[in-house]
Amino acid sequence: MQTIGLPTCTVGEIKNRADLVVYWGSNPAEAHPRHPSRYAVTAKGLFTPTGKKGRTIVTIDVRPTASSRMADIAFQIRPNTDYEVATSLTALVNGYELNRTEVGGVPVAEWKVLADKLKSCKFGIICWGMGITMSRGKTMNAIALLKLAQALNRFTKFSGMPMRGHGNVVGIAQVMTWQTGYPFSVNFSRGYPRYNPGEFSVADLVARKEIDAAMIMAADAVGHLPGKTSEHLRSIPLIAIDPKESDTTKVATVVIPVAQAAVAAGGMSYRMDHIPLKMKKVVDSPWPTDREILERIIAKVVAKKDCG
Amino acid sequence: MSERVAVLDAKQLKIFTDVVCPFCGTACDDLEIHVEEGGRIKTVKNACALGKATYMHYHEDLATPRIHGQPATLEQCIDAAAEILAAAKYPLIYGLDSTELSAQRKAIELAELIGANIDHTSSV
Repeated sequence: MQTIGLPTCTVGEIKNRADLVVYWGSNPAEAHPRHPSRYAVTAKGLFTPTGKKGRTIVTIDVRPTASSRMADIAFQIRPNTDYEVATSLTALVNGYELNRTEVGGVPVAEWKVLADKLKSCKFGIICWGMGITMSRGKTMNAIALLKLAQALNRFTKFSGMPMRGHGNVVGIAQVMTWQTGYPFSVNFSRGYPRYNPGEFSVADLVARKEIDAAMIMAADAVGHLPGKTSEHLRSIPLIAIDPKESDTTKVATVVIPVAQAAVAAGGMSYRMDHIPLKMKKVVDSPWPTDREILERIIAKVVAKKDCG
Repeated sequence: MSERVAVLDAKQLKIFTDVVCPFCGTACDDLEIHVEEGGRIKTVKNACALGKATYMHYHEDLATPRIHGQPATLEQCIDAAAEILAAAKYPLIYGLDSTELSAQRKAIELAELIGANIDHTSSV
């Protein structure tokens, strides 16, 4: 995304305009259950008064899913062929012929039909998910999809949107970007931010046993990092700041409970289309908020550093 | 985003409308949550199974302040955490996805202060 830009829109535009939706490597029926009904499939909007009737829903995945059952056209491709499929579609959209009979296990004739559909819609969107970013090619797959969306903008209006989820991941990427200039994997050891995924990304730092202390906040590192990797976290001073018990709090040196954001603490959170929304506090918690804990830690760290 | 909170005298229910769900990136903003007196969440309307579970199971598995597995006061925990971070040569701050913006901003401030690595779940 940092290499080619993001032709994107808001979910409101999907709801009000999109007459063609491609779910690629994402399974909204299970991971984002209300995305189809609120925004992309059955939602009725200004230029989409008939809801699902007026939309073409396409899924591209490696296996049948709960989402492919609601699709008008469901492609099942061979695992790890997303990049070939995306680049072939881009070539077809641009009017080139392919000198082979199948791509990703699907006949080229079928891809041609899809390419024509993509070109002839009024407003299309590709919603891609972890199937894209966690298979062979990773970020390059997302870039290929964005290039496809860009190519389609010569013929119609087309956007791409990652199906981001799990709380406020979009928020932290946004905040890091406008605070440091980089979305993740930032290192401050020289006093200014440096960005180098692979060197400063969490899985690599922990796997190479480079870090000598860790503060894990609002995430379960021990539970989610690859098995052997997380063992290093058990051997160093580990601080866990979390409203709930998790694999991380079980092995942490220091556990600090907090009021859970969006339930026991208010604040702002980003939706997957980079729109900030206000979250409400609905119950009281005996513990302070994440922010207050951090403020108190910062004050103490400053005091300790000043004393030498 | 209206801020209507109606209190029903009969059952002393607090009703929150237009609540934004924190579970996934869809961020549905039409949840209606009924909270009983004493702060127990009784009903969650409009949410999907995942969002509903987030609120209904909120009271389970709550963390407690501990140092080396032994119960401690919150103040002692914060002090111990500051001690660890101030002494660390190459610390890591990680996570930050399930919290709100101002806390995320503070975490970056802390990372700059101690010269830490800071990363979140997107890079895994």
